[in-house]
Amino acid sequence: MGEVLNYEGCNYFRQRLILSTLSGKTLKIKKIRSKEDDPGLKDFEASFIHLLDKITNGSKIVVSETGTSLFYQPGLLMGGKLDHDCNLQRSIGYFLEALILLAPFTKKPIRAILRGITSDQIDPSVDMIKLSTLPVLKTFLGSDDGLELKINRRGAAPGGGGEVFFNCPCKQKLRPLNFTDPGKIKRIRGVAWATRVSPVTTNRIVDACRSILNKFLPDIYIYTDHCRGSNSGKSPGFGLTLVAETTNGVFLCAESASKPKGSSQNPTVPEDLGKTAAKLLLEEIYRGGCVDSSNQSTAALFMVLGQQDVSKVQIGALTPYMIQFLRHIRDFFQIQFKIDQQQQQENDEENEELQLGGEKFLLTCVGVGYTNISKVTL
Amino acid sequence: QEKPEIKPREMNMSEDESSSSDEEDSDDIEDHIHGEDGSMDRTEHDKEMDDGDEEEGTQWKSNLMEIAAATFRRIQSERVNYRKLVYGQVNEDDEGDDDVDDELGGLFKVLKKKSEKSTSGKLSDNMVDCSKLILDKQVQLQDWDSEEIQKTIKDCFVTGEWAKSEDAA
Repeated sequence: MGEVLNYEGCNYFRQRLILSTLSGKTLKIKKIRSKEDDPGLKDFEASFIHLLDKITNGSKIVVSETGTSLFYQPGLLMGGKLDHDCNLQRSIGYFLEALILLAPFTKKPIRAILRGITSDQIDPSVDMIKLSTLPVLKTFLGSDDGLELKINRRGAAPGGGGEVFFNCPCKQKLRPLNFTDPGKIKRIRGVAWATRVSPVTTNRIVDACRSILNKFLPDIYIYTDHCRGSNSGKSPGFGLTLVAETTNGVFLCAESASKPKGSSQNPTVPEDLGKTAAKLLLEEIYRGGCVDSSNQSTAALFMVLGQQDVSKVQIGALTPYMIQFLRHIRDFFQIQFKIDQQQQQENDEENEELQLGGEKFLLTCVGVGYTNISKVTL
Repeated sequence: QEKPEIKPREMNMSEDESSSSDEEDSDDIEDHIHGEDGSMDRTEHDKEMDDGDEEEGTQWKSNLMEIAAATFRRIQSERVNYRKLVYGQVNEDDEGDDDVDDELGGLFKVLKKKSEKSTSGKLSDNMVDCSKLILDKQVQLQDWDSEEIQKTIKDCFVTGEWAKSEDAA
């Protein structure tokens, strides 16, 4: 217990707090924006600390007077019912991602209601988490009993006003993963949403997006979700989330959202947004792998916190966030992943090499044998 | 006494080799692949061969092992060690300490805002914490309008080419 891990800077804030909570190691972060005009923790980080305080019991959190350093001694992960107004500087995705990483290890199943912005231009939107992170979570949990993510109300940046309900069962042990063949993409689905703008917007997005993707695959269906009245939040906005599903159950996800109201740049054109989202999806497909780029760290964490068994997963190029996450995992759990570049299978016959996009990597590790001792068993 | 070296000629010999020399054989290969000892062996080896009464025809076989070792080393060096890239020590020279802070009346320090360049090099300690890969900032988005680049992912779809092993047609 005596060991204290020291870090600097505000980047990777959530990673550090989450890993600290799960490993039970005390954490100290210094020099948080110490050289900036507006030093110290921002409101959204404070909001995140509040959320963490709500799902744990006995945590000790000390923030220095200037807000540039933080001390965190984790308590027990309780979970249970939870209600949180997320800060509007970041979208709900920022908070939800962290909640998902903690959810399987709580004492009681998490039933959370989060309010705020459902999608913005920075964080993964709630749609994206629903379409790509939940399938990953499901494979580790082994079933989707009680796993639910519902968007009750949408809220665009900057006003927010959205509401999301998240329900996740807690488990004693996670299943090890062996996922090395992504299969082929069989269909593309998506959600085009719009709040407080003309309903035609969603159709314009869908048409533009189809003009690019139809060259690759005929099976494309994009739902349109035009919110009205109390379900549409406080600000106008629109966006598109796309997901490519493969024959082996891999979900590769990409999205684009409109600029927030009041931004200094030109307003977003729905057609451009549709095309951008389509291209981002193609890029995601190029990167490929069994887990998409924004969920690499999720998969890595659940692999480490699994049983004492070998887990293996194929992913595309590692994102900077993932690389830092792997380093943090080493700091907190003393686990290093084996990272191999995957060679293309040789086709000895007249076939030339298959065009499967960028390089792929195989990540292998042995779980630490983490068991959720606080979970109530009957 | 045991034979000091195994001549290349003997490597072609089949089952009638004794087990002890088999072991030596494998040791020898290892020596050649790893470390400097291999090169020492080589000079000895070559000398021995010159002494011996071998025909010119088998000469090409003499450096087979050397070639194999060289190829092995080349492949080894070409393969990027990603584990080392991720977990290795980060060589960052502290640029921050270089710039001298101005002092106001010998009492207060004026902190200069560091230039964008130096902060981005230092693994971005105070960047936005975000799991989503921000394309066009962290990674260049490829030009997906071009046919060439579109082709690079054509076999990711069910409509594309399948590997021979799983092709149903």
